[in-house]
Amino acid sequence: MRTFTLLVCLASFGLAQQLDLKFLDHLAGKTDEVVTLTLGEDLLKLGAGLIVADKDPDSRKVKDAIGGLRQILVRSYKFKQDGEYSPADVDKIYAQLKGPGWSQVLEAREKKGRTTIHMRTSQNAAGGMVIVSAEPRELTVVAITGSIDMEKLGQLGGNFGIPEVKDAKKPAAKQEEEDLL
Amino acid sequence: MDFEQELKRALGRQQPPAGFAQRVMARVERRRPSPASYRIGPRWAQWAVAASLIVASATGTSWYRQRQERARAEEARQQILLAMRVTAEKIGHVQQTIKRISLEEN
Amino acid sequence: MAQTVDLPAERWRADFPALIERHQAMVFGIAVHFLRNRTQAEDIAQDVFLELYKNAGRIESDSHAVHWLRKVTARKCIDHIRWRRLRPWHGLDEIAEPAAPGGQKDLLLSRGLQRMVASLPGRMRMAVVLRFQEDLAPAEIAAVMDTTTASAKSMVHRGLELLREKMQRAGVGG
Repeated sequence: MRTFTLLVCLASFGLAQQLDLKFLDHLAGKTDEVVTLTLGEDLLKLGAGLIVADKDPDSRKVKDAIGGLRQILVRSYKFKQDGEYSPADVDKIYAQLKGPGWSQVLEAREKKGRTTIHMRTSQNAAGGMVIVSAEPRELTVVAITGSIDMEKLGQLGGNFGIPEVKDAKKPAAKQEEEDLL
Repeated sequence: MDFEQELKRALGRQQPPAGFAQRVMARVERRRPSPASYRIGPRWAQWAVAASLIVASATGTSWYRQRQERARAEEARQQILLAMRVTAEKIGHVQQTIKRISLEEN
Repeated sequence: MAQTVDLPAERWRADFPALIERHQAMVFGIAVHFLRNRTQAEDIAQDVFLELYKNAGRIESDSHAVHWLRKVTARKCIDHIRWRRLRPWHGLDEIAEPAAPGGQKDLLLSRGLQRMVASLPGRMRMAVVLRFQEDLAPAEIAAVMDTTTASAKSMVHRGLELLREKMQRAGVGG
């Protein structure tokens, strides 16, 4: 069983449309756990209004983090067994991320999975980010269109289980304390 | 000391405070629609009900629109949070893996 | 919608109070060990059973209900700390564990262990609670927590290592 996760945060104008993910649609028939979300700018503003109304500091951070985004697309497929998607599916996505402006900035490779983060820059600012993660029983695609503020995204650390970026040489006890969600 | 045995003992199942099942069932009952009452009262009461319905229908449209909008916003909010959670988990996974590899190399 | 096999939804709902009685210690136990706060643990346990009631038509058997309850409890607990950013030791004063048989020393040891478990990172903490409260194997923990067996195994292993380190730092034999 393979898990495949793709998270895409795209540059500020229409990259979600340029990224063709329709070939993944056939996977929906192979799983009973599918998440499909498409949030345009209007819905993002609408939802952000409620999020900030929460008056919860964490919610405010989320609101700040999504402030510059124009579209979020999520596709998530969870499979009951291996091999429900083919390596070719993954390759097709990677092929689209090799165009001008895209660069892979991080990769975490494990025995059965691989996660990569790609950035697309536009002039001075970071225009978008792509994360592709492959694991045994899950396929998830998230595409975010808009200008992403990595600092604000980093401030979500802890809110959604994101461990904050830490100094690897900190004492173990301090590290454990910070790992607490 | 058998550490794992001690852990099993410390983490045994625990009964909730007395009356837990009743409190859950009370919440279940509150969620059930109550049987409709068909008892028809005196005429003045019927007029009162009719008047109330007219007032309700006059204000209902606006209320309904607000409610629809609110529901739409709530749905958007949930979707945003779900999307951000997926995003955050994947980034967290990368960070953790990189951190672990970095620690192993050191 | 999934078909009920052994327990049609209506009969299942009629048996619901008995089902709560059967499984409340499991659900509440997971929540209270994870959150170290009895009030919040009861709130979550109630929510879990309410959700089960709503999903009665999808439950196929009592063992399916047990798996479902563990899974939803784990998810709600982890969501709870993610959103509220609870520090587990905040609720210590609220906890009044039942006295363990074996005397004051055992009771103190148990409480110390519970406190240490509650200081583990969220998902690792849940894996440890499921391993030692529910006696689940790594594959079962993985199924409950929607992760891989290797990851579940690693979380339990690392959790035990951390707990042993904490025990040693606290000067308790391990």
